[in-house]
Amino acid sequence: MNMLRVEEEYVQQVYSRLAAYSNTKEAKPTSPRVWPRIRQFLEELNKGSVVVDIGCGEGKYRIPGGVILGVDTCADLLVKVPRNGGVDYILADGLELPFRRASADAALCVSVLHHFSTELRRRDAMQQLANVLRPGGKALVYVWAFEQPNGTFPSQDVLVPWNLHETALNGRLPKVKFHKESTKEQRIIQSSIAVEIVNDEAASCPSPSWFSSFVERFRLLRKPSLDLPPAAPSFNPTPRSSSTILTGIRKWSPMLGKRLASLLIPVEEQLADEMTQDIMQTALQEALATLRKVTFYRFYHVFKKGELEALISSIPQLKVLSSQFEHGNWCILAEKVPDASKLRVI
Amino acid sequence: MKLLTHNFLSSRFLKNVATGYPLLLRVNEKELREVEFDQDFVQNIMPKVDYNCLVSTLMAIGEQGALPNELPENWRENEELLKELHRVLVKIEVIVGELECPESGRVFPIKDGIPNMLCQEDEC
Repeated sequence: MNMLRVEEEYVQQVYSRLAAYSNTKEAKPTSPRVWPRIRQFLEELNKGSVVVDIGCGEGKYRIPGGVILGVDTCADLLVKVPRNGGVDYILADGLELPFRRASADAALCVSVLHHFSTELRRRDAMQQLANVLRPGGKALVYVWAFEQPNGTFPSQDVLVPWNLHETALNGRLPKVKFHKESTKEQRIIQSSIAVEIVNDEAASCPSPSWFSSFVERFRLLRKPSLDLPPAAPSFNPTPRSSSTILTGIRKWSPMLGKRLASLLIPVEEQLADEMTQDIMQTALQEALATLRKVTFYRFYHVFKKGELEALISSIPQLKVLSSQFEHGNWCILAEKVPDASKLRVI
Repeated sequence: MKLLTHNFLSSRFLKNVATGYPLLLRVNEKELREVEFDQDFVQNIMPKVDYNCLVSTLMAIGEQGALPNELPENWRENEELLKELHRVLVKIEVIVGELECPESGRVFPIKDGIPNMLCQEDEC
């Protein structure tokens, strides 16, 4: 299975970096917000249920009397999560779920499927989910919708900004200034960037140039003259420019400037070394993120009406039980039917 | 990683691996967590557990204790047995160790209590 660069750069690496700014361990053990439909889904499960949570992130779901197996590709996030029972974490890919077949009573896939970059991969993810469910097992799938009450996406495949100055710090959301007639959600949607994912099915008949040409094929739709934004800001510091930035940071925060300077000075002495650039880049990124002026971009494929239903229905073992639109998301409850190949047609 | 979790893990996603189960477990560091005994939980979860996998794994890590090789018919009424099952399923935490695919020999490390089941593109 090919790991596409867009997912690596605009999904996995971004979540890793964002993990650096979440203070999970110090956060108060307040119960995180769980969408009512998910809470209901979990509460209705039989006692002793085994639930696979695909793309669990910080693993905020619990089921009394059962067990949750949380799967995520982001190691930086998983190691920060406090282990307080109820959830066991596994570092694994949703396209290669590491569980025995037909072993789970239920599966959750909340706000994850929209990060896969092609239809083939999204379908694979649902097939994997179907494989781990036992017959009669249920799945709840949430994806971000193309149809938004507060704005219009420029395309179904988009890079969506995540502004760090709007993320929670110490478990509290900082005050966000609301512009007149513009919500945070509207601004995020409006500043998202349309991209074109070229069908990667061609990857199954390998050509040596495929990978190197991928970046060119993954391009901006709206402003073809512009380059893609980096997943996170980067710098190529020279002694001059870094000291300029440093001066700027000192103005913002003398403490931070001091800390940064101590990082930079020994670094400058060995600037020829390529590693220094990495170190400086990380230090500067952290500093700027602390100032919360950094924007991260994440890749999304936002789903049109009926698309998720069609995708799930295309898996022979899955049957859609209900489909809803909820706060800008499409949500589907599905059930695993016995393997079609074992059914006798009368 | 709890042994209950290990009971569900498989490396069947690897290329040329059919079932990849059970994964061989080696433990370098483990802890015994304080978890309150919950009889209902054990009674409800046991039908989902592959008992042979559980016993062979316990044997491999030297934790079989008083558990019989085969689950007796009346296990639901045997409180001593339920308590021992509870201990091995959810109280033992593997912190550092590794899992090995029984078919290909591929090793997956366990660090900070988290098994790393990620693989390279050409492995699956």
